[in-house]
Amino acid sequence: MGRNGPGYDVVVIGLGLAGLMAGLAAAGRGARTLVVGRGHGTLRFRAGTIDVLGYRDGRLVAAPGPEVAALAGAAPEHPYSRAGADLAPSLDAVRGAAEAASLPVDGSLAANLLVATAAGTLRPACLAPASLAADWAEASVLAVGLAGYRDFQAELVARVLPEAAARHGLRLACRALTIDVPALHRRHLDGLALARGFEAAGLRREVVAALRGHLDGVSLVALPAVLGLGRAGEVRAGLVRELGLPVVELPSLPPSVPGIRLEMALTAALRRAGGVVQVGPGARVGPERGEVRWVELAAAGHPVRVPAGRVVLASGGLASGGLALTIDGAFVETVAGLPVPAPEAVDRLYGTAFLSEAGHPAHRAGVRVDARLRPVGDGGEPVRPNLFAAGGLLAAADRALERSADGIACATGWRAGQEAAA
Amino acid sequence: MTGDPIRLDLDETALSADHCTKCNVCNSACPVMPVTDLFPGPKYCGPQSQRFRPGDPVERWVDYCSGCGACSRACPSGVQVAELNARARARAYRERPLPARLRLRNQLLSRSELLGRLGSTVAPVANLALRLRPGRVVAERLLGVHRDAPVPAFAQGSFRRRFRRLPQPERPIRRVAYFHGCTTSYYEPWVGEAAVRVLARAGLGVDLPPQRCCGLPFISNGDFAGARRLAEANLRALLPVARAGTPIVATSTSCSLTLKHEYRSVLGLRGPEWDELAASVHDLFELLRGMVWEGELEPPAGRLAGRILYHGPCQLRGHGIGLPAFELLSGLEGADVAESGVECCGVAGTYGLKTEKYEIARQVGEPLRARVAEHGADVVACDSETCRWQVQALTGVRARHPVELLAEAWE
Repeated sequence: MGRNGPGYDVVVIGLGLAGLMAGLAAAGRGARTLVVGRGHGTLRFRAGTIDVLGYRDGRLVAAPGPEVAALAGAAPEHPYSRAGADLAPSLDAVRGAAEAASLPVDGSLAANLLVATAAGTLRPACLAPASLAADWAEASVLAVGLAGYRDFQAELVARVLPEAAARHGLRLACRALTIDVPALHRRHLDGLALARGFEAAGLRREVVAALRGHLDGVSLVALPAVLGLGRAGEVRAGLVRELGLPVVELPSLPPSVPGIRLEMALTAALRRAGGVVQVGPGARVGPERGEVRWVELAAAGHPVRVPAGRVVLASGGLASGGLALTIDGAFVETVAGLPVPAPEAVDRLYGTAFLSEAGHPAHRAGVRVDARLRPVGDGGEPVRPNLFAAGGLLAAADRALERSADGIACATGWRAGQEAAA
Repeated sequence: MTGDPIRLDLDETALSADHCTKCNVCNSACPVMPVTDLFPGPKYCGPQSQRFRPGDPVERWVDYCSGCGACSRACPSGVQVAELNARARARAYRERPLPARLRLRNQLLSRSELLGRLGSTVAPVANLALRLRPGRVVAERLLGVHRDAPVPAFAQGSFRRRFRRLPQPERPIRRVAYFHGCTTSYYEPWVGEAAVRVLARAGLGVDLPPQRCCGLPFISNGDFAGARRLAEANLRALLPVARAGTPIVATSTSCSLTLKHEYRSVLGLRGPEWDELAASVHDLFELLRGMVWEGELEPPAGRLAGRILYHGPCQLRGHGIGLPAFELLSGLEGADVAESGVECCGVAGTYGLKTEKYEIARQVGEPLRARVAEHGADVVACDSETCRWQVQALTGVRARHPVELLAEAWE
């Protein structure tokens, strides 16, 4: 592609995992790349794990790699099939970016890890920050809450975790302890404030002191995932050293510290690769049909048209506003006005139970793409020759049931970024 | 329509609070929250408190919002958090007035135009007073302006007088109107001189329409009536310019954002005339970059000297135009320019000058100070004036407007 045009070779719309991966892939190939989005992306709400495939047809997936290959073979419309089933390059890119930010990553496509949730259950994840991974079998866990921090309840974890582990055939014991440390008195506490606080030695010292005397028989200390932000590795290593025990982080409510750490790592990698990140304005593409020539930012005062050689849409699904549902039940794609077919013949878009094990047909709606991840119309032809789509926008996957949102975002974002920079 | 009209507040800023999903992303972006517990964060001050307005409780802590706007940019749901906070602050000041001393201080800090006009006529004396420790200690005691807060020196003679001597292109391809702002007028006329030189180099003739202070310091100090008077005056002066199709160009990204955005979204000045004014305002680098993109202008060329760290000020990022100055400077020959990647310098206009907020602003600026030190920059380039003064005070490194650097490089 030409590298001499005005503006950017590649503009990516969306600052979630798919958008950052697309930007990283494009910038890494030497394309002048802009990644822009309306506000921060969904990594700020997510646990910082990469869930590739946790369940298939209601069954727990032990080895996500082979199962993704099987799924892609069986469901040609599934984003994994569209992206090409080899997830390794995109996962390596995530791992590389995280490790460059001193965030070691555990897990592989060969075996899912079991990661705790804020409610104390265990769920499968392909990759997870090493701080969230633990050896649960036969563990004697001390779940530690911090008085004043209401987004994490140690008692809940202690009640739920043993049963949740038993469902995975694991035996463990868990006891709750809520510690009251002076450094947190009269403080306004959310996860991020705590994470910054833990980077100071004072809070760490008080926490360690409060835990001494409660560690008899404990084999694993579980704290909310607030152990540092930019210097998380150092913070956790310090606690492990002082306590003489392994420490695991349990995700808590947003703002999600592990998610923000991953976002910071990916953004830093993108900047190192020469990409530009812009948080703020919403975007549309123009002109109305044919080849996309610009991305129009909803800037203050008047819109700004950024010339774009190629565009990757990573604007997300229904929850992120990339897709919207009209009052009469039609789906619309909000940035480029792409066609969104209704999900396969169903009577209703939503089931009657919120947490239905059958899922909700609406969640499978989205944009359909060709083998190069270009959105297609009814006839299967690309709608725009230089427009690519990735992530939550893509049709034919129920990410909640599959636990596949991050893997889809990684694989399709990476692939779309490469296609756009090719 | 007949019958009793139902009175609805259809103001977009107020309504945007309903889009809040309590996701906390604004809190995660706020640069003030991490350094002080006096400010409970944009989510509580903005959309959550908005549910109780109008109502009795007028909270004081919203005063600790610096108005940097990081929250509004971070919000994925389009809530105008900082704008809600600015309004809440104005109301708080109105309904529970500050002590007289701080009220006087805020009134003084709001009047950058008046201060500039008075100060620049007696520049040597005024500058001496500002530089001397006893004067600053007295100002701190009497007024609550911190003795170490970064304040600029007055220039002798205003920019408008110097403007007549500046060369203009013989055959301009187009004319633009320059909105210079108080800083160029009274403190840093060389920024305006560089702007006219750069615009001339781009083939643009420069007009200097009558204009007043944009009013941002009044907005930040909660005096909306004062701000509206200035906005109205600027509308009267600039609407004919806008209607003639002449772009209004500014070098201060704070002034230009006020004209583009704050008039409508904070002061609630609605109507097609305000939209027309907003639509004609451009940051200088935004205009040049647009000309390059449209093929009207060859990208600026020339040799850029020095190791430069570019810090995009909060107000620039509020424009949503990206970093056009950084992009154009980066394209120059030998350019050694890096982006700071830091959210906020802390000063936020007049916030960091105030005794009760000086230390907060200094701590907010700490990551930028560390970044400048680590980068080893000779010069920090930054498009907003108070940020430049703060950066200089924090780092000891000279801070300049990017248009000065471009004017020196572009042959």
